[in-house]
Parts: sequence; C-alpha cells; structure tokens
Amino acid sequence: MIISTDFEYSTDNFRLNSRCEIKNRITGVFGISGSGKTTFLNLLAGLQKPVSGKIIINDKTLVDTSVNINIPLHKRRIGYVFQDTRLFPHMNVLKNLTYAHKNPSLNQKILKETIDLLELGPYLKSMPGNISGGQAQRVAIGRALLSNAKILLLDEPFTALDKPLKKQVITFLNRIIEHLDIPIIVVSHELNDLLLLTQEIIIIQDGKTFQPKSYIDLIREKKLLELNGHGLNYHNIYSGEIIKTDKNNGISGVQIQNSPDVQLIVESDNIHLPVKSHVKISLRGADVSVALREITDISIKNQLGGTIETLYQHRNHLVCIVDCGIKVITRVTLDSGKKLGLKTGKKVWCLFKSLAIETFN
Amino acid sequence: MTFEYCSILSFLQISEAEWSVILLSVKVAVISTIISVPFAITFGWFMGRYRFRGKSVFEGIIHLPLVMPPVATGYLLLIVLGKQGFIGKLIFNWFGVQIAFTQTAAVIAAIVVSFPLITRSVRTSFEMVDIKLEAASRSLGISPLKTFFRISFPLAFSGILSGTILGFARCLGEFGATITFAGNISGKTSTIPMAVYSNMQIPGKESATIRLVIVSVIISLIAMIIAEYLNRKVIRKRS
Repeated sequence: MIISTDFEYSTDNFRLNSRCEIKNRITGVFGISGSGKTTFLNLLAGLQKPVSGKIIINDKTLVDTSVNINIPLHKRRIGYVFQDTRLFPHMNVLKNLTYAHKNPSLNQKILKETIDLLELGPYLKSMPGNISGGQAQRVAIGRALLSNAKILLLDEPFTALDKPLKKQVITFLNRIIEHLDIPIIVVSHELNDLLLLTQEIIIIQDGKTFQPKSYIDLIREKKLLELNGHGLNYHNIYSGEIIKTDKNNGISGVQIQNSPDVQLIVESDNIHLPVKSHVKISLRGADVSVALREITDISIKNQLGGTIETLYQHRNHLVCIVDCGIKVITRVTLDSGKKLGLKTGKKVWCLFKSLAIETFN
Repeated sequence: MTFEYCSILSFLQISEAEWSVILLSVKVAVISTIISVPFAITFGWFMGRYRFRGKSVFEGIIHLPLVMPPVATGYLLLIVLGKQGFIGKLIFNWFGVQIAFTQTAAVIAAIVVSFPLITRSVRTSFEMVDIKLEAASRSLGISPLKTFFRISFPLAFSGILSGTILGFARCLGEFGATITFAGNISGKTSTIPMAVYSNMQIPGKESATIRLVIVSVIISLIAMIIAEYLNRKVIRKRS
C-alpha cells in the first residue's frame, strides 16, 4: 500500500505542508508537541481538509482540491485510534468493539481473534469508565481493527499511560504488527516509544513533513539535531530472540535479529520470558561507553567491537554511530572524544551494562 | 372507560364533566408533545451543532413564546391562523377548515409555547455530547445519520427526556395562549387550567376546582417520576 500526500493546510496561526510517500507497513510520525502530527493524521482520516493538494491511497484519491474531491470521513475506511481513545461511554467493551463490525454473524471468528489478540476477554461486559487507560487503548485499537479499516492511524497511543501500561500497549501493538497485514501510521512526540514499533520515521518540523527515513539515516543526516534540543535522547532499539537464560546468575542471552554474530546479555529479571521468545531491546545512547580496547576486569557484560561509521559534533558532545554488526548509537563528551582520538573509521569498543538494557516482548 | 377511571379515583368524586376536561387536557398535552419532540430534536441538534449567520435572531424568534405573555402569543396565533388571519383564511377558503377555537387550535397553542422549552433542553443536551465521539463513530465508517441515532441521540437521551417532560407539563398547564386562540368551550377546548379558572368564578365550585388541581398535581408528579426513573436507568446503564 502506498500513501501519497502532496498538500498544504493552514489556519490563522498554523501551517503544514506535506509531500511524502509512505510505503512501509508501519511508519512513525515524530515531531515536537504542536508541530502538526495530529493534524497530519486528521487530514489523512478526513477530519480536516487541506487548503490545496492531494491525498492518494493506493491509487484512490481521497482528496484532490483541484477537482473538488473530498471523500468523507466515514467512507475512507481508515481506522483512527485517538489519543483520548474516545470509547463510547454508553456501550460496554464488547459493544464498543463490535460498533462498526459490519456483519457480526460472518465475522465472529475475526472478533474472537481480535479479543484474544488484545486480551480483552475478561472486560467485555465492563463499561469504558471502569477499565484502565491501557485496557481502553486496547479496546480503541480493537474497535478500529474490527471496522474493516484498510489503514490504521494511531495518535499518541502512549500518552497518559504510565510505564508498565505503556509497555503493555507496545507489546499489543507489536503483536498486531506481527499478526495483521495492515499499514499502520503511529504518531508520537516520544521518539523512543515509536522506535519500539518501527524504525521508519516521518519527521514533522517547521510546518513540513519529510519523506520517511530509517532512524539511523535520520541520525546520519543530522535530521534529529534540532529535535534533540527538546530533550531527545538517542536510543538503540534492536529486535532479537532469547537464546539462553541463566537463572542462577540472573542473566539471559539475546541473539540480535539479522546479526548472527551479535549476542547481548540482559538482566533476567527484566524479561520473564522463556527461551526462543522474541523481544525488543532498548538501550539509551547515553548509557553506552566507548573504549579503545576490550576491558576484561570490569563488570560490564556487553562489549562490542566495531568501527566508527558516523561521527559529528552537536553542541558540547559527539554523536557517534559504531558499526559492531549492529549499529550502536552513542554520545560522548567532546573531552572524551579528544582523549580517545575518535574519528570516522577508527576501531572502538562499545560497552554497556546488562542492567542498562530494557526489554519489551 | 371513564367510569373505570372514576372508580380508581373514586375518593376524589370526580364528575363525568371533570373527567372529560382531564382527558382533553391529557390528550392535548400528549398530542402536542408527540408532535413537538421530533421537531425539537431536529432543531435542537441543528442549533447545537451548527453555526450560521443570523443564528441568534433565528433562535430568538423560536424562543419568543418563552418570554412573551402567553395571551400575546395566542393573539398572534389568532392573527395568523384565525378565520380572518392571513394563513387561516387561505386554509378555510381552500379546505373549508377552521382552526381557531377548535381542539386543533388548543394543540397548536400548546405546541407553540412548549416547543422552545423542549428545544432548549434538547439543544443543551446535544451540546454536552462530545463532538469527538461523533467524529470517532464516523471514522469507523458509520454514516452521519447512523452516528446520530447510535451516538448523539442515546447520549443526549436524558436531556431529551427532561425536555419532553417539561414540555408535556407546560402543555398541560397552558392557559393564556389557549384561551385566546382556542377559547374556553366546554367539552371542546376547555382544559384543566381553563376549567379551574371558570370554576373559580362560580361560587360553590371550590371543591371541583380543588379536585382538578389535585388531578393536575398527580399527572405532573407521575410524569416527573417516570422521567426521573428513566433518567436513572440511563445513568445506571452507563456506569
């Protein structure tokens, strides 16, 4: 599926220009608060109308202002999961889920699968006011999925969720991504949350949307520098599989996907999952140290050797991408950079504690 | 049928003439309410959801009977729909139908005075329905009309119900516009308020007056209790 946008939207004090083509199954939209992320989704969904331009999904024109085409919201078949969930307060969870389920008798199997996938079985009779924020998010996602939508839009699905609930929602979203073949666009002002779902990111900045790019490319091309000023912390996100668990020593080994030579050691208490389970790993760039050699007499368990492929200065620190079989993003101070003589092509070791790794299933 | 009711409320010793007044009042109030409510829902929803030029003026005109002296409202109705009125004359000439001083006039007068009351309540309740929920419904592929019946209407239901009961009570108690436009014709257009008024003028009719007042209190109370019960049922269902 290809989503193509070329439009301009403006109000008295806001402007958004979008010219991009989305081809990935799951794409993140990232920008600071107020940059227009939700407006972008609203325009795709049909809640707002561009001043001029086109929105085309798979050769179907949803909006073309030049010929006065504007397919109404209810005919676009776009499942929209709103930030505030918007569950219907007079319907229980089951009725919310089946609200737009066109032919219940034929689609009982799909309904059951969705309920199972989102683990909503115990709450079907509950009213929206009596369930938690995480459960409400799952109901909203299920409701959108069951509406026979061709695309799923998720607006800040993690906002207002505490860390355990956020982790839970991320798990369910990853499950959906794994099970359903439906393009998903997720908006968040937290890049790290987005990265746990996708590495393909559209940036919205200065009233413009940019073409989707991989996270690593965005760092390489210094596209995140401005946003970095807003407290962005570079994270490393990897997918992998648990290959061993040493309960006595409280550690587990994770084989990184598509990198047969890279295994990471994580703290077992952080996982609670059996061997062969798929996990996502999150590691803050600031938690990665750089050394010129492997250090043996140290407690740090993860030490990966590699070559610096990208290095540039941003304010008072260096942003560094090291190719260790996996790309490791790190930040070091200018002083450390000088002492170690860091430069592109130099061989270094990336060190990070197993305790610094956060895992998501 | 009338006598069966009489036996139920025999302790009040309501006469047959009084029963006919009560039944006429209830009939006029029920018919007026049934006619008013669908229009009030449409109008209230429209006014609660849309902005347009001249909206305040339009609303002001609709709400006029709420603040105008009811007798003046009745007089205006007479000017418009009376046998010599500019619309009433046409109706009489074309169809041979006279509106003024008939039960139809009593119904029209009740509709005119109760409509703004129902509309106000309906409009407020629609305004309280989160517009985002309607957008959420449409984003799920549900048409605006279905969204209205499945989201907006059920969520505004308690307000619509209150408005309906208020309107019904207003119809039941309507006096000024009715007496001016429909008259106080015994057995034809004389409703409870008019019968009470007439009885008050005649010495020795005090007990009949009290009986009618008690009946109107009972009817109003029953209506309010039913409304409260349904309202609570709606609230309980949501929690």
